[in-house]
Amino acid sequence: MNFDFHDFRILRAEVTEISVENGEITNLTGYSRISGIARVLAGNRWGVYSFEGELESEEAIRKACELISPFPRENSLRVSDEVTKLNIRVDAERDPRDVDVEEKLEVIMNSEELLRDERIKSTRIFYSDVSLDFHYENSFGSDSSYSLSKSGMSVSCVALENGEMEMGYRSHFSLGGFEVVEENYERMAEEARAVALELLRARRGPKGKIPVIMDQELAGVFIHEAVGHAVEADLVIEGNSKFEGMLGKQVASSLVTVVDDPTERAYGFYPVDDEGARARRRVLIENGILKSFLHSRETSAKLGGEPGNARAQWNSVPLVRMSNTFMLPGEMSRDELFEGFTGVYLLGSRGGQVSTADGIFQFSAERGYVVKNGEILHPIKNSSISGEIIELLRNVEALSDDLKLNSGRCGKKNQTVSVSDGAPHVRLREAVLG
Amino acid sequence: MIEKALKFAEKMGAEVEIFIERGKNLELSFSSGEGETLELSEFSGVAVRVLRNGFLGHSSDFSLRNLEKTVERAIKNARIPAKFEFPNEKPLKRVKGIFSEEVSSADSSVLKERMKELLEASSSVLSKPSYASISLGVSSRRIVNSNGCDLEELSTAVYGEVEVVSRDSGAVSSAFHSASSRDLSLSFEEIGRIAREKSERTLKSSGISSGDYPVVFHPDAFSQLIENTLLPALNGYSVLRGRSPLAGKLGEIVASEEISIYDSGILEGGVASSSFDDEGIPCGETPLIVRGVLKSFYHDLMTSSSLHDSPTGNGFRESADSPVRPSITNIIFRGRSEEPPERFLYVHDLIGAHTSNPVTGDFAVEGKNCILFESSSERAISSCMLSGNIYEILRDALMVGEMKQSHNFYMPDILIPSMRVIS
Repeated sequence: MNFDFHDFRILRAEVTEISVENGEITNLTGYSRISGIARVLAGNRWGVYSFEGELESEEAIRKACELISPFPRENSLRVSDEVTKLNIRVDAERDPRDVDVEEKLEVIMNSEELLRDERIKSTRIFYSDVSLDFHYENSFGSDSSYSLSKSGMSVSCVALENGEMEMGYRSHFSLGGFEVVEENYERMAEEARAVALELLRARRGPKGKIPVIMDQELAGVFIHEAVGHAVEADLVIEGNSKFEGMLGKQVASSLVTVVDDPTERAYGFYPVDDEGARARRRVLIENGILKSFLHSRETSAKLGGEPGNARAQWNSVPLVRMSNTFMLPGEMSRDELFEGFTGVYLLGSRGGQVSTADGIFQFSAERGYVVKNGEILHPIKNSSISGEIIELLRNVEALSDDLKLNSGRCGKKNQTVSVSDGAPHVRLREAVLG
Repeated sequence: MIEKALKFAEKMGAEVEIFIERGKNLELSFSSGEGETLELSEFSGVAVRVLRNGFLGHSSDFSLRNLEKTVERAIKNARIPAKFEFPNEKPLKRVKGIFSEEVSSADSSVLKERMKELLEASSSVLSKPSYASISLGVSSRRIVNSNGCDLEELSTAVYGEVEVVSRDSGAVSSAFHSASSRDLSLSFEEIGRIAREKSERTLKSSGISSGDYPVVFHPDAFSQLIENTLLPALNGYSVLRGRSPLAGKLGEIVASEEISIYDSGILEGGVASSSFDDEGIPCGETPLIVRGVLKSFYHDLMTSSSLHDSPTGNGFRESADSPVRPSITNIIFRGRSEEPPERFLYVHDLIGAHTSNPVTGDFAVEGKNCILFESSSERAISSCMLSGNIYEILRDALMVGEMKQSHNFYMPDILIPSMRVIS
């Protein structure tokens, strides 16, 4: 059968996962995982074969061909023919494969110790490291391999007082080895404990349209949900994005500049994407004007633009995804941002979700404070923001100079990938709080 | 190979359990403006658990190739305190309707036909499907342990989903709908039609004033809400680890007396049914809440033994690489259903249900595809937030209308007589 393009990707991973709950080991596992995928394009139809274990590329491609060979060739779909040849090894300061499990457990147990308080009734630490060898080849001549590690830990605790329960949570995952955990575990544990205890005395927050300042973590989720998903070009082509037809138009306050950068050494890092296209920094919004979408080989050929944002969970079909997505900082200090401000200061994130076609999104803060004339008053809990993407982006009225990135996992079409997102403190003229 | 591994474990002084999963999934996806993708995924996984001197160890691989080494790694990892033994084989009643020969032998031409039905039903002058996917899966699970248990079961899964975008005079709306089944009785025409109707019905929408409203949740919406609040609290693992607000409340009233909720792994043809769980315990029906009273939690061997309760056949793995944890099967609501009131806000779907707080039950989520019914008129609502606490709203909850299925949730619509709506 004649085909227009084929590619093959294989991943070999070594994974360690440890959970400790209430001081007791509840999961301790190490495993190897080998999985791969072959894709063949003929006309406008992709044949895909994904498998576990070792398999030669020729055999996998043959199986992918067999899937679509019964069907007549229809139309033609173009894909970017960018060729990348790269072979790199990203060394971790402390390769997790060289760190004994006892040392990993010691750090986890130390972290657990730091969570203790007579009001803390439940603790949970989750540790994971993944060391990945990636290989990609395609029919245009791309041939790339890389190896890297990503590691991290999440810490959560539940505080109980007068029958009220509250939870504190911190997580940090990044490109790198055991040093990622060593450098962050004390801070994470102390912050998670402080949050859970503070929430015990928090009241429910005000509801309705209110001026808001978001901390870097919540503003990062805001950028991820409000901008990142809507600039994924597959959604734009599907007619499923509010940003369709808006390139070059003002979609946000002129203070807003947003970039996606997989070369940033954070949790969303990769040297080439899962279609073997070179990773590159991309300006999505510049001074409020929509500049670019995120692309795969297929969407870049259709809409114009460069590939490099096609990502997959293990051996799944690559989708257009974010990497490290963040809003660039402003010039104000944090204190200047709060000067004279009356409203609500929201911090931390419990995640968010967007409906990209109609541009409606929701994201939840972990906690917050009522602020009057720049003075931070009592803590509040259970606050979420919802709204329409462009309306809220236009409501950005000030940014501080303290950009910070946070790690997370992003879901789309039943796949999750590692990402980070970030922002400085962001002041919104008003937002709908629930 | 399995016999050899059992003997090896015995020699090492350990009880062993070997879980073997194999399967394949054939999926056809359509993307508007792009091509279509036909994907065959073949998967396999082997998980080994050992019990030695009161400690549990786990390891996994993607095949049986190095089973003895996987057992050896599990023994090395045996650091988890455990008070249970692997079960011997219990008398088992095989659940019906979870395997379809027709699905097992179907090829891509079946997917092509069903996709055509789905796409046609989701298209109109106003509406176009932006993305659709349908899949047919077949998988087998086998559980063997050193206490004589050797169980195997085949199952099939059929799934369809579509996202529809509707446009009219500058107004835009969208809707997602998905459904699943064990066999090809699943109507793909219905999946497409429901998504299109939901989207078109909310195309010309306007705002709603903030205030307290009677709210009726479709099972697609209410299932998301309780999956992130109530059901984690009923999980024996949350109780064991001190994270459940329902711990210590067995026998207490936690919901309206009109509400009864059961977990049933043995529902005939149920999308989450199986004859036994991933530990070899027969699945059954567990009353969780009966007429508003908290009756039981759902368990695996670890949580039932630690909490001195009976196992409920809810011990499952996300994958061979994951540990066994209590997981829900089919959630069934039972009780008297009423007529909806004259005026209510109907919420078909939610945005952000996963941001709810599983420890407190608090939530503040965005309603999607919402309609305000007043007397005989209806008006689509563009945007509204629903805020509250699951335990507070359950106290007054009522079931309305006929039973519906939302994947593994079998329930009617749920009415909350008064709830905070913010716009």
